[in-house]
Amino acid sequence: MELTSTIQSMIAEIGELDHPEKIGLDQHLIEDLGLDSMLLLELLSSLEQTYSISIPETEYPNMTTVNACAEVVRRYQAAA
Amino acid sequence: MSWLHDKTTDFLALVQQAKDKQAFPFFRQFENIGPRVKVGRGSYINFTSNDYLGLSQHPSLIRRSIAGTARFGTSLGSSRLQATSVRHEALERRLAQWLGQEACAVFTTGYQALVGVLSSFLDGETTVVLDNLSHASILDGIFLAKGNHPELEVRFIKHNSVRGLRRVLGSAKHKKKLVVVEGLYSVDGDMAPLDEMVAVCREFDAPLMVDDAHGLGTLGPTGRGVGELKGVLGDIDILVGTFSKSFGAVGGFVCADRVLIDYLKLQARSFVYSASLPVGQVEAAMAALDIIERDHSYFRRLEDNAAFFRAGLRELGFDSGQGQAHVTPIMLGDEEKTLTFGAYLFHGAGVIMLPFVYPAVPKGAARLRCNVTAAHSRADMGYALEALAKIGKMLEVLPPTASTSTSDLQRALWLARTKLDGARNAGLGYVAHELGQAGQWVGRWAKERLDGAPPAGGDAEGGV
Repeated sequence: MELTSTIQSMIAEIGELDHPEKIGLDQHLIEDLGLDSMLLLELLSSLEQTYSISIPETEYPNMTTVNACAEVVRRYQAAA
Repeated sequence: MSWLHDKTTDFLALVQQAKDKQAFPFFRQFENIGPRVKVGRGSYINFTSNDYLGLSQHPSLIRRSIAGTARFGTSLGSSRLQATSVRHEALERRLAQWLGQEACAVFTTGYQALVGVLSSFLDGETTVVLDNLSHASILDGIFLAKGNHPELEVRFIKHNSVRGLRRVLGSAKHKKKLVVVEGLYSVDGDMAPLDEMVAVCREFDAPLMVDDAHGLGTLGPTGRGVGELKGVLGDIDILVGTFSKSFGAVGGFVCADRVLIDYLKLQARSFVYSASLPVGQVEAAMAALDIIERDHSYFRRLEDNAAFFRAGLRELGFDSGQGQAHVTPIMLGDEEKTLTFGAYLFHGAGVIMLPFVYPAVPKGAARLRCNVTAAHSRADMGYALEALAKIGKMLEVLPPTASTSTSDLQRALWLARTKLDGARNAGLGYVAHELGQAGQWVGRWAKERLDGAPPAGGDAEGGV
């Protein structure tokens, strides 16, 4: 499964949204999709668990869209 | 000027902006407390109190609080370790018995109770599961625990989601788990599905901790809170409550198995390193518990009042969100409109409701929080509904046709009653203030007649 679609599924699961495929890759996770900072932390821990990476807190503010999350995951996977 | 002063600048500039618009809703100086409060020369109907049963003004609480203070003085001079009175222990036994738990620890505030439990029990070998709308005192307990134990896993579920709870418990990193939820959520006024959550927690062998600050004393067939209402009171492993809502006092408590409480009383730093709750408050809480246990008329009245007010809101076409109980949010969405609404209610109609905007609530979910209590009269609520209708139409939150089915005679009676209550509450100054308002209205009316010009200013200034 492609990275962005996995992230879409994770967001749909955590935010309990019905159609993961309809989540736009550049939609804002808080402003457009109704997540909040707590649910973003939940997303981060899912990402860390799934991809066996550790994302430092300094990255959090940038991870506001599916694409941005995917970019961070790729970077830390490459570094691992 | 130090960096400390610099740090305040931007934030306080925002506060000043709100103050300049007379829209800063905090620190209004009440000269009395209750459903009707005097502020300056004005008298206001107050919908911001958590004193849901109105017990803080009950003669029995006041009398027994005074007697407790007379016996023990205003302070016990130390923390509970060195300053536990027979009355603290008596209250703890009563609370545990009331809630069907083995033991109880009384803390100086509810905030300290939550922070104390979480920071005492959570460690680096635990996964804690929280609702994404958890109260600040739960989050602060988590911050403290996480700071001391970085390996603590903190997981979140979408508000009240049983599906989410199952998913998170199923993928938890640690074997030891604790689920922490609230009973009645105070901002949205909805309840946790505790019955379903208990079942999922059992399945995953995770103890359940419930903070029912807003539900204890107000919900359930005998007032034992959301746990009782959902039929799972006996299945809650750690039950946290407060005296600062339905009990009409100050303080917090934790009920659980005796060994947990014994441990907590020696390990919770917010218990060990904080002053013992003064006996005046202990006695007030005890008196409140006597009333809550024996006289169900208070929470029945609360229920009736909440139902009346909610029906009025619905009739007007306001959105009360997920609210199911006495916490009745009025969802407005737009932030600016919400702040303006709050200011108009206060300055124009003499009604206090608290505007909630981002970051207290998500963007686009701004609302007025309106706490109905057992102490509000029908006139208080009826008048407030008329004020909400009038301002709602003015701010185009409601269509021009929005109205309650209340008769004009009833409206007039409510208006007369609220003005009379206002005069009783705030005295001659209030009467003069009201006459001044009426004078302004007559002046505008006369000017309109003489000049043929429309009246200046919004009607909000003239009350309803």
